Amino acid sequence: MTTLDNVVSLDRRARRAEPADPILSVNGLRIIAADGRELVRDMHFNLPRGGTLGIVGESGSGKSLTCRAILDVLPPGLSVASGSIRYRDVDLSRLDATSWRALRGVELSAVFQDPGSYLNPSIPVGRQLAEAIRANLKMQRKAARDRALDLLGRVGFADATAVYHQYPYELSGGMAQRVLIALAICAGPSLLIADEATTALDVTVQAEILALIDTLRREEGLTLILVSHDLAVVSQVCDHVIVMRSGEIVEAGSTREILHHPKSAYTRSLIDDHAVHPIAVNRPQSADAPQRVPILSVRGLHAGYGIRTVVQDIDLQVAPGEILGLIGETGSGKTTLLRTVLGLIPAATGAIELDGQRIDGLTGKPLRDLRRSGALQYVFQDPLRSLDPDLTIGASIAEGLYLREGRLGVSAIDASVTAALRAVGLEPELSTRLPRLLSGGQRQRAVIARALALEPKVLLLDEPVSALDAVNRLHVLKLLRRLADERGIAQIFISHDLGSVAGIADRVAVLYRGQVVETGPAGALLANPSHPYTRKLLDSAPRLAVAAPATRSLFTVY
Amino acid sequence: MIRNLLRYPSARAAIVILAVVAMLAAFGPSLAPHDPLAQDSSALLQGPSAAYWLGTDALGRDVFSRLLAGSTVSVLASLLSVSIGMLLGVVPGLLSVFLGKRFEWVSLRLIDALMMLPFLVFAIAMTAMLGNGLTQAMFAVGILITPAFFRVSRAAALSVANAEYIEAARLMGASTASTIRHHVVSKVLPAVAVSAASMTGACLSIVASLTFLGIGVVPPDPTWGGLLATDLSALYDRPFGPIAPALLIVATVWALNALADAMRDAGTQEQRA
Repeated sequence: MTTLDNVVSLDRRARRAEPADPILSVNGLRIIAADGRELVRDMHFNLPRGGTLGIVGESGSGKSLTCRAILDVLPPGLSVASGSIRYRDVDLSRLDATSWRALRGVELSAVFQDPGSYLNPSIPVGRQLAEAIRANLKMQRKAARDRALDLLGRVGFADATAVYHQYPYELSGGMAQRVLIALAICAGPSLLIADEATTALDVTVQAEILALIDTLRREEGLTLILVSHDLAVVSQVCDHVIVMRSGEIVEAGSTREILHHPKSAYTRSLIDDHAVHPIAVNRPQSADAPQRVPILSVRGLHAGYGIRTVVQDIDLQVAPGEILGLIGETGSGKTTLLRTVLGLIPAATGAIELDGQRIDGLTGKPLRDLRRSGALQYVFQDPLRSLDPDLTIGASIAEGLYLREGRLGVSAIDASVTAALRAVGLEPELSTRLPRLLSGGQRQRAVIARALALEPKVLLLDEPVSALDAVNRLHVLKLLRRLADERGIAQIFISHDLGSVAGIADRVAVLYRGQVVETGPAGALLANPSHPYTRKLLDSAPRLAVAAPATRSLFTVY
Repeated sequence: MIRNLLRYPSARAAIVILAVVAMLAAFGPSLAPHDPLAQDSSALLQGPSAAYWLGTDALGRDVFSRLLAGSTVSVLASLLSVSIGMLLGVVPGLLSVFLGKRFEWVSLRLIDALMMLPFLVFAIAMTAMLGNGLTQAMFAVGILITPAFFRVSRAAALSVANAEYIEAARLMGASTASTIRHHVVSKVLPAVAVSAASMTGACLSIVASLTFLGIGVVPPDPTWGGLLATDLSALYDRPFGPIAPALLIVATVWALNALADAMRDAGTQEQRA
């Protein structure tokens, strides 16, 4: 109890007067797995009160594990082997469960990537918030409710009372993340850890959430650790940055220093990856491009769910070897449009033609024959969810081949699987692995390989790179471009990430509230947008920028 | 799964007990020291002795031999019920998710109706209609446990029905049967295995109850429940008599339930890993 008393009895005002004390200091932190593998090595930093620290690195770099170690919520099997984590003058590694309960969520608080999974689906969000307040601050029901409403207002809900009574499923990703932020700050914490808190959101929402975190940080005097795979996200809010790779610190320093004078090649590559890559824009446009016959064309399409029309009056064409980028924020109808083309949602009116044949309205055997032909392939947003967890990668890729030509024979199918894996730059040996044993980048390639094995004419890609870190994203984008150029595969590429689209698309269509508001060659359209919505999308994309002058020189990495 | 299972002490104990019971069921009649039907009029209602390990019943038959011989019938009868219940439950349970609204509605109502029927009364009615035999009785029990398998497999299938890999299979032109075979069965199997284990335990006690009541078995044939009944009627002469058959029934049912629990726990652990 002595440690607990120490924590609770700290006089905050007295502390504020002497900011020289680091609020959090991590020293020689080493995290190992059950089999002895070293996952984080010699992680160290001192974070002063009110400081903002960004930790950047690709998936598996150990950035999230560091945060989890600070909160003592490492995944089962992982443990801190050595090193110390001190919060104020408390050694966190010595705390017992009772003291942790008084600390975690009260003094140290966190927001994670997938807000939906942290909310109870059967209780209105306001009540969950009020319960947390009551539990942490020992408040009366009525007072907790008032504070919950106040907090919902603070995190940007205009009508807090309405949100209070809503269930999690009624909230969008961005709204759910706001609720989570309200939960995280409800007890007035000193330290907030935001672990990939904006990764799953689209650009406009991401910008809003980052601004919210920054505002709250200033108002509440929070110390902030922002973890992201995206250097741009971190650079907007944080004074200091630590770049991590395979469990180690690659580089650390003030944001300005890191951005303008990166010392390591890896940091430079992160910065370079972020610049928009005009691969396509500089390509010589072939003279016959406009005359090429489209392989897939959509004319006057209206579609939706039941009586609700989601997309209206869509006209799109894509020719062999051409990549059409389809951009728009969540809810703009991008996915609905693709699902209609695939025949998963019936088209209300309009025509969809593949290779000159009408494919809308097909049912039964003609639809199954079309699907088995493999001419039209869909790549899902989340490769892990679109691969059967019990089937090896090879079996997943072979499934379509068996369905199309079951009598082909095992050796011929094996050969096709191997060829498809090679085509996406994966070792054929991976075919015996289960999806969860692959990295995110490998999985995304495997899903593309599954589509390629059927030699498609058109590839529909739903946010194929949004879950990947910068390095893998670039590799996959290059792969897609090559497939278009070398195999003449037409592609429709959905993304909310303008950088990705500008990188590989020949043409871009901007979707807003179910309608195409602007379409044209990628370079021209993104350089010179005419529709206000396109301009807004371009403005909210995260850019590398030094947020504020780095005044807090107390931050040290040694 | 197996390795995870062996981490639970209760699962290890359960597997040992079930192995012994399986041995009894397979070789029990041939292991018996005496003919289970042979009567020895010089030794009626005796206590345990070197010749008769568990003593003799009112007709001078060796109780130990009857217990061993009864294992086969008791175990096979409950396995029969479980197989019938599994067959009639799992297949419609999976199809109710994938075959469309009409099949779903009809099958759900049928299962609701089945769930209303009381076990023992229905089994007794079946034997009254089809003749007094254990097969008939266990067939009835099999039908009555169908809802358990139906609901378990339906719930497991529902949880994956909207998975993206199922949609991906459909987009490659997979038929419903092929989708179920490749993607659904493996997800449903663990849950079905758990309920099969606990249902076997339940059926074993139902067999014991039925045979205790004298339903399903024609008198001279020994069963665990039947032995319990004869022992109870001779309680004054052999007060310890019911202990051995009761212990055997309780131990087997406990083992099956413990195994089912451990399987479920191991399964959830695996999902988290």
